[in-house]
Amino acid sequence: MIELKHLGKRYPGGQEALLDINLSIDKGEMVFLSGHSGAGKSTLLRLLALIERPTRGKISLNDKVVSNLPSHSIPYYRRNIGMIFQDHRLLPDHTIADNVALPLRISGVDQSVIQRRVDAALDKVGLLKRSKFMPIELSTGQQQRVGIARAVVSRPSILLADEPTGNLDHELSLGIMKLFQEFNDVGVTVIIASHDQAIMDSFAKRQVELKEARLVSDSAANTEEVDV
Amino acid sequence: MSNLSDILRHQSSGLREAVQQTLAQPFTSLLTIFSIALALCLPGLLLSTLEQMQQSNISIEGERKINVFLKMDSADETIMGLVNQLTNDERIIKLEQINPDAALASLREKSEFGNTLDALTDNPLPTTLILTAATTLENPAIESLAKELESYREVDQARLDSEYLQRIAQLGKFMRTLVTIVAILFLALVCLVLMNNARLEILRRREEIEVTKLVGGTDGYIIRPFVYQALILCFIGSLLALLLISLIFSAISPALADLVSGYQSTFELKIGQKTRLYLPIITVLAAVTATWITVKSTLKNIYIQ
Repeated sequence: MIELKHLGKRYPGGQEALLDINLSIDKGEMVFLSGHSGAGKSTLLRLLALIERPTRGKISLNDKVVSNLPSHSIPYYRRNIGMIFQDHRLLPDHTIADNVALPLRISGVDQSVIQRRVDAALDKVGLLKRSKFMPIELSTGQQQRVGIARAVVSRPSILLADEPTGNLDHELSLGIMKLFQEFNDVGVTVIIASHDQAIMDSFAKRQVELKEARLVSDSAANTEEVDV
Repeated sequence: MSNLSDILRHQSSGLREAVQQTLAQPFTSLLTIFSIALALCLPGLLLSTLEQMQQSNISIEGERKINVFLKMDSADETIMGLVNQLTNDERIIKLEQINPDAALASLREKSEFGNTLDALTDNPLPTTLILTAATTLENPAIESLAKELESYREVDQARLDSEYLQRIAQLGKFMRTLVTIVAILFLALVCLVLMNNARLEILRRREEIEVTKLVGGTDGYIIRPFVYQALILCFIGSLLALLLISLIFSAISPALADLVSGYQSTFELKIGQKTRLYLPIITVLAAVTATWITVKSTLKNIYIQ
């Protein structure tokens, strides 16, 4: 279970990116983080991945506080989290297979296992036949699928996706979201930041709305804070 | 056991990536290797030369000979007395007497002045004693023995065979200091080249490093290929430097042989064992340390923990 208590993030310039966020996400849950640009969705995901540290409050994972993990432990924490970005963040001079294999190489997995798991991940996202392609040879939607394959190849228990359908049309976006749902169906906790209300409404999943750095509504709690 | 195999797997992965990076940019890699080789050439040349000079110094000490030229008017009895006295001296382990007639005959045989020598009415050569000092005597003691001999009434001059070589030994001391300073400077140059390379490479691959960190890559995982690459480039660079030094020595050896033959000595320039061993080891160690420090500190500028 992921638990955020009085979580806050203030940047050195004084800008408040998140204010007093309290949120619990159960294991195996799929949650949409909604809100306009600048609401704090990406910051929340960055804090969950410990790309940044909160300036207030704490983050717990399975009852263990992780927000104060020492720097040298963060990579190992992150290996249990799959991250998907709007701009895919694929390595342009590596093949699709190499991009997907990166988390496994980092973890020191045997080459034979890497090959098998990369093939399985690419098969899952429908790109097995393009494993030798370079990222530039794929469409935006396909690149996003590669990003998803890379995120799931090491079988993480949590998937964090930051605007994964931001550059895609509605149909492609639905396809990507269905992929996330498939991973969620097998027990992976999925947290997706999105501003596409139509897409989010297509899935009967929990929605948490952020506005001006505050959590203003949570469909699971069925509460809505007005004018915070 | 599992930890050891994990360590080996991580190290071999870092090494493999370093080789791939090196081969992926052959021109850049070659430029770096040649820069390292050229930078190491001068300290390597000096170090080898110094090493050879030190070895020559050892052989000089082995000689330990003093040529004692007696006065022309020394009587045979006086000479006999002196020879007996010196034979009993513990500081002298060998004494060879060369009579003037034998010396003149030898000179006539070996030189081109036979006819000139025939024209001489008297033998101009003195009786000479060639003394070998005991191996227990240090150079200063041999010098003081020569001075003591010169103070004898029947001795005209006592000359140490290895005087000029001793000057070389003094020069050697100066050279040692010079070589150390030059070696440190050029080693620093090699380190700076590699540190700059590593820094630029990190900036070039910034995106890749960020992604690596985001998917769980440790600093060690990122640093290892850089360190192994520095090791590879420096090792090849230092081997190339040894090859270049060897070629330079081959080129200047004939001229040097002519020079030292004038001193009835042999002084051969070749790459010494210490140079062969220490040049690659010290260079690689310094480069690996410098690269590790550079990459570690540059990674701090990448805003992903």
